[in-house]
Amino acid sequence: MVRIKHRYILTEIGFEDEKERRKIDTSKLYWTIRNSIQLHFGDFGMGSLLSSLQVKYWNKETGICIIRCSRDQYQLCWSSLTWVTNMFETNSPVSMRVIHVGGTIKMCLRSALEYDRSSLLLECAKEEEEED
Amino acid sequence: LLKMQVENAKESFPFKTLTLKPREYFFLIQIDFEDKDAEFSVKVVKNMLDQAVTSFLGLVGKGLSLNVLKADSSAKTAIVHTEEKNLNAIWGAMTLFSRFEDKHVRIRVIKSSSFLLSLSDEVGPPS
Repeated sequence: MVRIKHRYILTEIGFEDEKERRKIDTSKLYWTIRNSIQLHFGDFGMGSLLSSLQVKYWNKETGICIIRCSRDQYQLCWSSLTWVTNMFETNSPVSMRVIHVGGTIKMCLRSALEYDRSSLLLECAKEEEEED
Repeated sequence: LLKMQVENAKESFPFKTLTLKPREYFFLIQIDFEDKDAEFSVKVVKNMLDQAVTSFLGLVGKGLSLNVLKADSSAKTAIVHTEEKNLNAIWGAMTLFSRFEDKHVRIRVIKSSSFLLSLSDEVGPPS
């Protein structure tokens, strides 16, 4: 049996209104990405990505999510994420930024930890500058 | 020693092969309508192909270059021009398209070539 290979895309989702972030769940994220694929890549994109598209992890506090897609068409999924402008149902303005693409969830989580660490260090440095 | 080997190779093989791939492709397509009295013009065919490509390939497909050069209303054929890199995508979109203005339609690719002259019926082996 040939193994089905996936790619895991670590994404940061930015909201205009921070309160909107807490209303979002994995199903709304899934439908947002799916609608973006349908709009930008049509039936071809849906057929090639839908079987393996899944939102594996979503953190309401940090706005980080991990999306699974097929290995061959991960660039299609990546560009669909970049072109997302509004959330499904709520229509609130949103932007998605891809941080890391990995072959396993473990590497994505490691990358998420490094990203959180670096953003915390940046915030600390900014606070120190403001105090000075 | 290496320089001598290179010079010997140049002397023994004076000819070089260059492969040029075509950048453009032309299709001769036939469109079968459910309604035989349907309007057929360059504008209608362009509209139909735009809908086919948009439904199959989305907004990205709408940005692909696709030109309708000629439409023959008596034979219901048209000549379409596209780039070589979009060839398979546009051919697939045309084949899978089945409904236009709430009526059944079928697009068949009769000939495809990188040269416009080869789409003509008059081209053939010399008699």
